[in-house]
Amino acid sequence: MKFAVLRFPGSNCDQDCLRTLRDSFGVTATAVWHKETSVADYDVIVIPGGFSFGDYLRCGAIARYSPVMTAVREAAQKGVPILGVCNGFQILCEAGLLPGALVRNRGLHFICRHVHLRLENNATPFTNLGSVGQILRIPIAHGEGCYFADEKTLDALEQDGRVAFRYCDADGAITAEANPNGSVRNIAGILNTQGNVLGLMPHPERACESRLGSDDGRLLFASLMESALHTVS
Amino acid sequence: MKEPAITPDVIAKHGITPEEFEHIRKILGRDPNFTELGVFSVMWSEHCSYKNSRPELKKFPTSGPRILVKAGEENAGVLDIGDGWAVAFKIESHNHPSAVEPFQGAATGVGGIIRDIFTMGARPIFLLDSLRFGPIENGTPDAAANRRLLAGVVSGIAHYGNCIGLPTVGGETWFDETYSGNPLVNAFCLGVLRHEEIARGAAKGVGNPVFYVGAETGRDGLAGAAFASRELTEESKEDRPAVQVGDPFREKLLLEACLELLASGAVAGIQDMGAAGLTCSTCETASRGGNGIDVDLSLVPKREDGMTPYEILLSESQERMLVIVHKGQEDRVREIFEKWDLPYADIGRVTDDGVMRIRQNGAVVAEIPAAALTDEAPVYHRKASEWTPPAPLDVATVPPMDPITALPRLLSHPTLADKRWIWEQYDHMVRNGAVVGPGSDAAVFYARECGKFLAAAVDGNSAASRKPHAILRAREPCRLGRRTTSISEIRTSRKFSVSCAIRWKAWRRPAGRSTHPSPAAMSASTMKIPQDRLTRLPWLPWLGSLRTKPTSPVRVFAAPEIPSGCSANAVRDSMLRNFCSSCTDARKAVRPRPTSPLKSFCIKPCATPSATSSFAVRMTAPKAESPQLSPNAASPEKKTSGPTLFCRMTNCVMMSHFFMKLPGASLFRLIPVMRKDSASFSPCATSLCVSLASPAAIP
Repeated sequence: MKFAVLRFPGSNCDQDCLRTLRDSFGVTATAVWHKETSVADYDVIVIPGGFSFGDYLRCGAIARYSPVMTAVREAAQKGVPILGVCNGFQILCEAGLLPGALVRNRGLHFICRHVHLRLENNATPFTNLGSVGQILRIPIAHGEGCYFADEKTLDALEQDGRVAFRYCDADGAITAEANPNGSVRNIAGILNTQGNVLGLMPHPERACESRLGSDDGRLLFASLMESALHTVS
Repeated sequence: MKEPAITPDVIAKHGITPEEFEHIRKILGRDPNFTELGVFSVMWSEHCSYKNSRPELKKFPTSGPRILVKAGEENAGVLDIGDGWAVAFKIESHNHPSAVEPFQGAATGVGGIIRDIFTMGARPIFLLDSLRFGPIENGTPDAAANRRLLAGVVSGIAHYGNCIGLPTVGGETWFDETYSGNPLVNAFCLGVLRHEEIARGAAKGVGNPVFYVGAETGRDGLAGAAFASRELTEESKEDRPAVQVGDPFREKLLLEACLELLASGAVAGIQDMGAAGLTCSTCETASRGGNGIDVDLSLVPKREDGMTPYEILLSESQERMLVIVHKGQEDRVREIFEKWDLPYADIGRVTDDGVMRIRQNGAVVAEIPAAALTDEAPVYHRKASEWTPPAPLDVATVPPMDPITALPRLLSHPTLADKRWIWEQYDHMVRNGAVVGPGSDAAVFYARECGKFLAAAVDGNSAASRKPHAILRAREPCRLGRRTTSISEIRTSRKFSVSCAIRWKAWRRPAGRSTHPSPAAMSASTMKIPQDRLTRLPWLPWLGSLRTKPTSPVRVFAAPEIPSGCSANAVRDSMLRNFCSSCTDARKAVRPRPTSPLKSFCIKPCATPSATSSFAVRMTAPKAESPQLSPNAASPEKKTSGPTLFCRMTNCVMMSHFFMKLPGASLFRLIPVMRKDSASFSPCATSLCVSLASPAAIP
């Protein structure tokens, strides 16, 4: 199983993703430079966190014009699982592969801490090993992670089960206090209509070793492997 | 553009004394022109030459069996950590710029220290910072200004560190009147590298091309080094153009490109352009290589037209490097820097005449012997002045206070309170290595490059904090220029001491009990501390035993008022520091004449960390093996009579280990600070400690 980890100028979680995939899951993971024009060789595409092009304009607004994004768009249409984490989520929104936008955190500060997430949909390639309502503890680290979309889009997301994760408290309750950045309806991660593109602000690759505080993020990568097995068979 | 004439007024404005000007004339054999005067002024500023502090700095022990690159030798020190791996680390202050423009001042402080690390060929892996601010909570205009500085500095550090992808895994922040309007901002960076990867900032190989790589040169940060060396005054705000503007994205690209270039083997020498920019990097590389350098400023990539040689040379635009490339390897530079979309230019050659020759469109605009600029900088031995330590206070005169009233007040004081607001703004988890993150005694970082755990802490003994275990004790106080520094016998913190006194009175072993009650039980019954804080509360029955020893008194100073509040973490810290203070005294009794001005204390817990483990304090002496100091500490393993200390101390494990193996390895830096409102000064010797950690010892 081959993972592509996209590398934009300014990506800074690319090494973490590569190491996690290789060392914790033993899969082949390759860094793909943003000027590449094909991602056809890969089974899963990961768009890692960081500050692509410095994020001096809107986050992800320049990265979405990188040559590799054309190939990513094609792959998305073919049903290849695409995981966008943090800046990757922002890039996917800018690229129009996911609806809505990520704006400045409610508190205007960058926030780095562990948060609790409630898994809302386990019928996806990213979450098939989990159960709905399961609580995961995964870190966030962003300054512009407040998810926003208009009511119509939000209703559609909910209706189609495309809200993958919500911020919750330790008991799984969806409360305003548990929402670290002011995201509408506590949304932490969403899916596209086909269910093969997931964007989320929390960093699952930072939660794959218990010595780092949590290994709940393993669920996402393990699910991807599980779903690949079924695709092959 | 016509250059100004060299008049006594112009000379004085450059901070050059008449005697120094005579020296310059002797070196050149003629009068310097305006450009050359500018070059001398920045290179001979305190910031670059340490002309006032060098005699003091030389007292630091700088050699040891594990030291690969000594302090002062290169851009950063390098230490062996075994298995062919090494760490490069450095701490640097960016105080004046941060006082004038907190966001950019702090951001470029972080940027500068990161460059110093990857210039050595190391992959930077984490940051620490040590901050000092004035009071922020009494509602005065000063407090409002200090809040602005605090918010600006923290977001500046976050901006740069987060964007470049380096975790800020630890640090410290203190608040004291001394720093009102004049904060201290110290940034630390550590990188890992293989021994054979150490890069040098020397212009080696006559005829080798000299490349300028990185961001274009602009007019920002003009003569910032000279600015940083001046006193901070009300008029300093007008120096805002002397503060640079940081671009972490550019630096991220520069970092990746430089490491790629270094790995290609094309580099003969590399130096970052930090303080004094192009001036410093050219003459220092030439001087270190024992060669000359000949560069043409018209080839330098520039942000704007019409810059004079003076401006180009003295600009401190950020994110730039000077790279000396092996002849014939020029294409590697082009290939790599084009890939990373970074400007680069072949601006000159290494020469054999020892002269730093600066041209503009081919015409020579400055010609100075390179070694004279770096090695012949004036050195001043300033006279020491007397410093009177504050009188120790008799503990009996401290009025007893109800601990239930006192503790919450302590807990809410900014200095003692939880610093989460600060460190949550830093991405401390990127690079997936923060095994023990901010808010602990020391950070423990798993360096995946080499598979080693590194522990690091930074600690300042500013007069405000007066942390005894970080004391840098010169044999006598000294006067650095017009700044009086008293690096002597600063023993105890008045804030700490109050908490100490309170603890003493409140937490003494209750009469009639043969064993200590569990801190948890005690706290729960009397303190009403939230449950999640219990694990962090200190317990200090050992204070009683220390009190009885005449050589190790627990000193307590008065405080004008009880500071309002503290975090349990900080109470624990203060307790340890007071304990260390006692050990200082114990050591003095044994060995009255210290062999070195530098002492470092570390705290070592027992092998198995647990909530009730006892601990040992060890002290580093520069040469001798570290003596164990306190009778309490001498054999912690044998002490089975009950909990001696209740606190999470395990993170410091490696610090002592490290110091014992690496005597004198600490890279210290003196940061004299001037009070804005008076002629009195406070020193802050910031120490840092990095060491190898054992994964088994990490909780």
